[in-house]
Parts: sequence; structure tokens; C-alpha cells
Amino acid sequence: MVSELEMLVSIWIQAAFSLMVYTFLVKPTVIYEFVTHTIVGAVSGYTVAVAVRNIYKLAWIPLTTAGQFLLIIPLIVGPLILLRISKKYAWLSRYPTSVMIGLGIGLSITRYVEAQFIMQIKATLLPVFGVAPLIAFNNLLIVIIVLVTTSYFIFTIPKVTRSRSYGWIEKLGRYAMMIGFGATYGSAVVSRLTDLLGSVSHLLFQWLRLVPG
Amino acid sequence: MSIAHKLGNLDRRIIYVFIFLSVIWPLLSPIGLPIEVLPYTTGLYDAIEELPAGSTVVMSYTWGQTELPWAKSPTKAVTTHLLSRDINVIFLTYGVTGPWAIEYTFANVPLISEKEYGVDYVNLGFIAGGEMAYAAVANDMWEAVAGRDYYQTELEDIPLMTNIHDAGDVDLVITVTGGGDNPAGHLRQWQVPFGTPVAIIVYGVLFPANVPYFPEQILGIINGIRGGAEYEALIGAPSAGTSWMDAISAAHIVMAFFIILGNVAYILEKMEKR
Amino acid sequence: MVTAIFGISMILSYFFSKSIPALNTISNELMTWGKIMSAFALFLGATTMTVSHIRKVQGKDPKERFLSSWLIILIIVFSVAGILFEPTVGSYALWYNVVAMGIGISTESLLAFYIMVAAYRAFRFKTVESSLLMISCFITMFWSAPVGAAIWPGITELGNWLMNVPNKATTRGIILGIAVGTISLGIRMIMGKETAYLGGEE
Repeated sequence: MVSELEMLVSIWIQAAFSLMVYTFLVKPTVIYEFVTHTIVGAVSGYTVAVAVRNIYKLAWIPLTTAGQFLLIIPLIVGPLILLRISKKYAWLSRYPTSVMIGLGIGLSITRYVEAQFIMQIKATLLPVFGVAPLIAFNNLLIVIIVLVTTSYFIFTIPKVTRSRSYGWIEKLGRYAMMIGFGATYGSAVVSRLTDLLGSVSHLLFQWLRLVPG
Repeated sequence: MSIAHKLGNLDRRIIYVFIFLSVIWPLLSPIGLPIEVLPYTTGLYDAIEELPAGSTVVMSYTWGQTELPWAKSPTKAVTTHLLSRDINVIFLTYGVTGPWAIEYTFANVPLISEKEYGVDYVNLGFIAGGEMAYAAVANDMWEAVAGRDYYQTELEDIPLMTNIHDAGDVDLVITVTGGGDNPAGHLRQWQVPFGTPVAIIVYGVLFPANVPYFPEQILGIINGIRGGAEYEALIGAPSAGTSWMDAISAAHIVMAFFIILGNVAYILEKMEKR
Repeated sequence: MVTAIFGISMILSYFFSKSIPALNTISNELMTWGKIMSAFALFLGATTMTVSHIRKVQGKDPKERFLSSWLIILIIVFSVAGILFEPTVGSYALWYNVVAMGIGISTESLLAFYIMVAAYRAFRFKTVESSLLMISCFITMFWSAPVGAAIWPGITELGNWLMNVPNKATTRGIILGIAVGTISLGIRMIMGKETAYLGGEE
């Protein structure tokens, strides 16, 4: 349980940190460097704590109480990844890296084909005839845009040949991508404003104790 | 320096002040503009409405303290909806700050106090490993968490987990994420091998990137704070999401004003050069 | 070779685990190993940071020495306290939240300012591409906020169309491209032709 005094002090310190961060908008100063070092240190320490607890739960307890002796292997190989920082022994860190990369690749490439290739192509096979005109137009547009966007990333044909033969496809692809990126930019604006609201809300309602009218 | 040039190159601090004021004012005096509910949100709402009581849903978190502004509203609304329909919820996380987010959910969803831990909901804690973690949980949930929940209780002593062993035993997985390949990872490791329906609650900037999966692969997409406000409207419990939308509206008007100003200045400068 | 062995074992398990149940057992065990090794990888950030900042503490710049010392102290305090006490509730959670929310959220919110200033400075009707980007951004912004529908109810339909047709199609094309790229990169890594993840050597 947290005392009221601790809570009050924490609100003030959190507000102070927020305002220190916003000094960056005026000019980058040592104040901003201080807060960035603070968060990096805290997050790193927190991550270590969570990782230790995780290893204790997933490896140490099963090894020592449930007789899962094979877990000694990741407990020996896993820490080798930290040798990455050593010039002399960095080569040892390749073993755990290879294991993790190998497992990740093996798990993902088989399912990638269905989830993000076949299913997406299936979803693009849309009816253009026998449906309402607006739906037909939209479906045709989707098919065309998917084709031009995908063909934009064909880099194995020389650029000169591309421009001469089907440069217009690349142009259409670029236009289509601009629309997509614009949608992402618009969503990013909303997202970042949400973060600003989180910070400002804390300053107004918890620190200054204002009440919305 | 011409007026057109000055208008197109305003000191950025002027814009900062306008942005601050545009969010402060509606927070202090909310307007209450109505929010239309979009199909991306009703997709998840309807899917939950169709689940019978006693179904099991996995809420997989990959968010934490820094994602709280956008994540608290939709996660609270969706969790409230699930519990109100007597649907069992398994909470787990793939991010280091996820355990805190789960505890935050428990502390901030009032309906949790009416439910029994281990029977109606359970916290399986953090599983590291990204794609490996999604696959491990999907293939064998008990093995993935070494047979214990976050509080070190044996899963054998948790009634909710008795018949839940892999993704095939789960009726829906809802993943809450602020970044990364999490939604597609669940499609790959949960839906492709086991056919588990997937829904997502995402940070706004990820929303356009996940629309291609809707509705064929992903049942519903809750679009950050906007989606949270819509879901609050659907369950009849307006909260933080709803009140913040006014501030977002005001900030958008300010931004639109400056973009138009910049373009007017650009056109004027072009005319001056001619 | 290690990458190939582990990768191929997971691929074989995907295709043959129903007819050879032992493959399922092996793959589950390997995934457990992977999860535990991933947990060790979480230490890497803190370790690298500590080593590089220890060098700065030994340097001459007083500002760097202070900031680096502060960072190392925080790493030690938050890691030891988090191991000894439950990091998700109580005082530990309170003080970690003070840092993460006070600094983290505010730092992320700085982007709100930059994104708006960037839009003001860069969004011009100069080329077709920039115009399309700007119009699409405008529509999405006002579609996302309730003020858009309050000004013009048709924005909802227009925004839905923008998301469901051009945006969906564009992003789908990109997803397909990424899928092909990822699959081919994965195969190259398993075959040993791609070794950049190891530092460029076999």
C-alpha cells in the first residue's frame, strides 16, 4: 500500500518530469538530457527485474522442482548472448542468437505464406461483375491498386526498362502509396495527440487539481 | 521579407502555444460532440455479443505505462463488456511492462470485484520471445507459463484453466498492442494453425496498416482512443475516451488552420515571384 | 548451421506434427528454450548501457560523469528493487510509473508538436504526390475526430471509403511485398547465405 504523502510527492515529481521534457520545445538543455537519462536508466533496470523473474519462473522453478533437466541447456547458452559486448568472446553470442533466429524463422515463414500471402490474395479476388456499380468500381480499384503497389517493388528489372515499358505503373503505385501514407500520417496525428492529452490531463487534473467544467 | 514568406515560416513556438491551448480548453470545458461508431469497432462488439456465457477469451497485452493514454479506454471498455457477459478472460502479456498493465486493468475495471479470480479471470503473466512466445502459448498454454500463473499458483488449482490447453480451446483472442508485428503474429500462430478468431486493439498509427486484414482475418479493430470512445458508447459507459475526443477535435482544427495558412502563403509567394 | 537446424525442425513440426507427435514435443521444448534465451536477451540492453556509461563516468566531462552515474544508479536501484519487491504494485510501481509516465508519455507527446509543425511546413500543393498525401491526411484526421462529422456528415463515408479502398489496397500491396521479402530472407538465413544477423561472418 502507498501512503498519501508518497502519492502526493509522486504527483509533483511526475509533473516536474513532464515540464522538464517540455523544455525541449523551447531549447534542448541539460534538463532534457537529465530526464532522458532518467527514463533510460529506470526502464533498463525494470527490464532486468522482469527478465530475472521471468527466467526464475520459466526455467529455474521447473528445473529444480519439476525435474525438467533439459532446461539447463538454455540456462547455459542463454547468458552467452551477453558476451556480445566483449571483443574477444563476442563469437560465443552467435549461438543463442542463431537459436532464436532459427526458431523465429521456422515458426514464421510457414505461417506467413497462409496468413499474409494466400489470405491477402484471396481477399483481393473481388467480384467486378454482377454487383452494384459502386461496389464494382471499388473492387476494381482495389485490384488495380494492389497490383500497381506490388509492382512498384519489383527491383529485378532494370530501371531504364521499367521507365520505358511501364513507368506509368510505377507512377500509379507511387500515387496510391501516397494516399496510404497520408492515412497513416493522419492516424499518427491522432495517436500523438492522445499522448499529449495523457500528459496534459495529469498536469491539469492531478497536479493542479482543476475540475472539468 | 514579404508577408507571404512570414506566414509560411512562422516561428514553431507560436504553433506549440496554439496546440497547447487547443487541448487544454476542451479538457477543462468538454463539448460532448457525438461520436459515430464505425464497423471496425462493431465487428468486435458483435463478436463478443455472439459468444455464449462461459466462453473463454484471451486478452494478450503488449502495452504498458507509456501506452496508457490510448490503451486504458478501450481495454477497460472491452474487459467490462466481456465480464458483463460472463465470459471468462485469460490475461497474459508479451511485453515487459504488460504485468503492470494487467494489474492496472484489474484495479480499474469495477466489474472485476464481482468476479472470482481463477474462476472468471486469470493472469498468466509475461512470456518473452515475440513470435516464439505467441507460438508457445498457442501450442501449449500450460507449458508456455511453466504450469503456473503470474502469482505462482499451479494451473491445476485454477478451475478456469482446466479445459484450456491451447489456442483451439479459446473462443477469441484480443491482442492489445502499441507496436510491432503483434496482430499479424497472432494471425500466424493462433489463427492459421488453430482457427482462433482474432481481434485487435491498436495504437492509432497502426490502424491503417491492419485494415487489410479486416474483416476476413481480423474480426474487429479498436482504433486507439477513437475506438475506445466508440466502444464506451456501445456499452453505454462514456469515460476518458469520450471526453478526450473533443480535445483531439480542437487540435485538428488548429492543425488544419496552419496547413491552410501554409498553402495560402505558398500560393502568394508563387504569385509574388511571377 | 544452428539457425538451419532449429529453423528446419520448426518447419518439419508444422507439416508433420500430426503424423509424428514426437515432433510436437520437440518443438514445444525448443520454443521453451527460445523463450528463456529471449529473456536473457532482455539483459543485453542494460548491460551494454552500463558498460558504455561506465566509460563515460571515467571520462573528464563533469556533465557526462554526473548523467552517466545517475543512469547507472537508476539501473541498479530499479533492477535490485524489482527483483526483491513485486514490480507491478506498491511503491515500486508508483515510482516507476512516475518516471515512465512523467517522462515517457511526455516524450512521446513531443511528436505531436513536431508532426503538426512538419505538416504546416511540408504540406503544400507542389506535386501530385504531396497533394495526395495532404488530402489523404486531412480526410483521415477529420474522419477520426468527431468535429469532422459535425462540420460535414459526409466525411464519415469518405473516410470509410479512403480506409477500405485505397488505403486497404495500398497496404495490402505492401504486406504482400513484405511477405515475399520475409519468406525469401528466412530461406536465405536457413541456407546460410544471409549472415548479417551474426555480424556478417559465418
